[in-house]
Amino acid sequence: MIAGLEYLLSFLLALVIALAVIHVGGLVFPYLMRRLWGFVGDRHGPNRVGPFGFFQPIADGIKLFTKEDITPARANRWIFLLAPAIAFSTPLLVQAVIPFSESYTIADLNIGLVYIVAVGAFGVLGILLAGWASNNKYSLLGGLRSAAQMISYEIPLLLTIIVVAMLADSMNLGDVVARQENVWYIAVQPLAFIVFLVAGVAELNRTPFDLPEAESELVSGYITEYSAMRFALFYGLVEWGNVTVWGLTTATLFMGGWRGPFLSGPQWLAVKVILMALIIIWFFSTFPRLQVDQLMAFAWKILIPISILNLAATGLFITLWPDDYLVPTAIFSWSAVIIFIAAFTFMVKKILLNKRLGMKAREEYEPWLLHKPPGPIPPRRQTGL
Amino acid sequence: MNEFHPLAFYLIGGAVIACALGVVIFKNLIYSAIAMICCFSGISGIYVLLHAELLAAAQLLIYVGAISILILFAIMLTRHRSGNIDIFFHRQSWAAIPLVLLVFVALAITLGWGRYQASADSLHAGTRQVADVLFNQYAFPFEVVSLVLLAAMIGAVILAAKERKR
Amino acid sequence: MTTDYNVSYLSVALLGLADICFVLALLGVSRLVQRRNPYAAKLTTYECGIEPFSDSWSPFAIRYYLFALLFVLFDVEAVFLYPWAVIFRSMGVTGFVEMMIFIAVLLCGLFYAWGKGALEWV
Repeated sequence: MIAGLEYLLSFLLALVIALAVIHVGGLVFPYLMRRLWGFVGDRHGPNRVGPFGFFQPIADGIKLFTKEDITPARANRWIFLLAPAIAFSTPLLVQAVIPFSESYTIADLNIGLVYIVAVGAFGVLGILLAGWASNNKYSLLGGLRSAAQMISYEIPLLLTIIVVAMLADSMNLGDVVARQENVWYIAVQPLAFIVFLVAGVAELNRTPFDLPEAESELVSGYITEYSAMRFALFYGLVEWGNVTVWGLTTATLFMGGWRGPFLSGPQWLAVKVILMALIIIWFFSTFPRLQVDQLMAFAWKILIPISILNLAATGLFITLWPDDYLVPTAIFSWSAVIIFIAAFTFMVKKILLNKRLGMKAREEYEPWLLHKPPGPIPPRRQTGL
Repeated sequence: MNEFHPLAFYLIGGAVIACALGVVIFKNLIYSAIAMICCFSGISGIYVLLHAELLAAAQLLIYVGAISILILFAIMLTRHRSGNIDIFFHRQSWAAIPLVLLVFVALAITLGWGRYQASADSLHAGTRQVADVLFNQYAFPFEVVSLVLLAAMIGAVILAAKERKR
Repeated sequence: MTTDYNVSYLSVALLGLADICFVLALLGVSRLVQRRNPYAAKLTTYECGIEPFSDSWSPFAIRYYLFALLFVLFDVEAVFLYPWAVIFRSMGVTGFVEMMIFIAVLLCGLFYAWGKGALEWV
């Protein structure tokens, strides 16, 4: 009886911590994104509420909380309500297996690596059902696209996580962290890390893979009909909560998890999560959006073959040198990364330097660059952050 | 606490049966699909109770993550209205009742009076033991699985190509 | 918190339950706070300002279904790879070759789909 009560209390504490992680992520990261995006675009970000606009997300939260939420008359009321709950389970349930410090894991499962991907399935279901329940053409298209994209990029993600399981010889996340005591897997397997990063960004529906919410064609994708607190749930807590949890997963799988000098476990995790979020924001502010056909081709024709190749090579090295496989694996992985980056740069350069293509595009879209401008361009007003 | 409480089994089992009934009873296909997803998740819970962790995760990954998406796509692909629709294939219910009863009796006999040999060790087999048996003892059937998957893949491609031509 | 098998999975189940309760509570409290004034025009489906026509629950292209089918097959493949990943060290070359044959057969399928143009989004 006493043991049961003790367990219940510690579980409630863990639940509060897990919810707090999602909420902090959902409040801080959108603010950080708007701020940095403003800096990149030479604009002010939110800067009115509090110092540096720091209380902007809280103001937004209060506003969304007190606004009227609308269920469209033609929507399916019940699934419209259920969909955010299904989608919200992903960031909450993934946290169960993440080790936050040496002793703190909510549920130390032996199959943690499979569990993470398996639980991710609820996110796809929630988005698909949200798109369908809205009974809006944009929402439905957004939901379908999102589901198709997420399932396509889940395969490279799965295959990459298998590489981590092979290196760690375990599917328990605590063991994965313990094996990275001397060297992080990002140094051993940069190729796996890059595939995981790209597939993860696609899985999170972030730029350059944010087609499901392509505002220029689909209004807002599957969240078009969601308003007020329901919108806040989907946009703030589910999407940015997923970014936070994905950062936690990446840190655990590739960057040594909670391990690090000087700081405590949760502090190191926070640093690594912020780093991953900054990478996503950087992608957001620099890359243009892909087309649907390019998006699917990239998953099936590039990422899946690369991850299968990586898996086979890692397996080969571990079989050949069961004791010191780290060095050959690292050599293979780093050289593969260099070759791929070189090939990519060469391709991009070829496209950019293609004179006929370039001139044609310029004539079509930026004729003023080819002819003299009609008058002097007025000087731009300098704006700081 | 090495054994689960029987209450957990009855709770999950009851939920699974209720969801399975929901799949058949709901008139709206999407509701049926959601009940089916709950049913799949519940079965994964039963695997957990039986200490088959890997199977539970595989159940979630394949059934909830992949097959339910496939079924949702299939429902959304077909022309249907939510709400009342004429379900013409429900007219055979008179024939279904004795058939279902027969299956129930057959299952009850096999499960209730059948003999199963399983040691306590094999019931609590970890992932490593499962993998060991799968890749050593059943290596050939495992390779055949890849052929089955290949056949399914080719079938899917041919079906899609036919649809595209139309 | 604990490494006990049953307790760990109990926590996972309770987290799932807490998820639904939390979302419903959040939306419920928000509903108590907000001022509601629904009317027919507000409740129409958004369609760029024009009157919404027809249901959006209508059939769409088959390509989504094809990708979902391919995904199911690769998912099944990945599920076989997980137990292999933790055992192949002890099996030596046999285990490696076994899995390479399995993957090679499936790669044939992928390249077949590629060659047939099934991976094109048209």
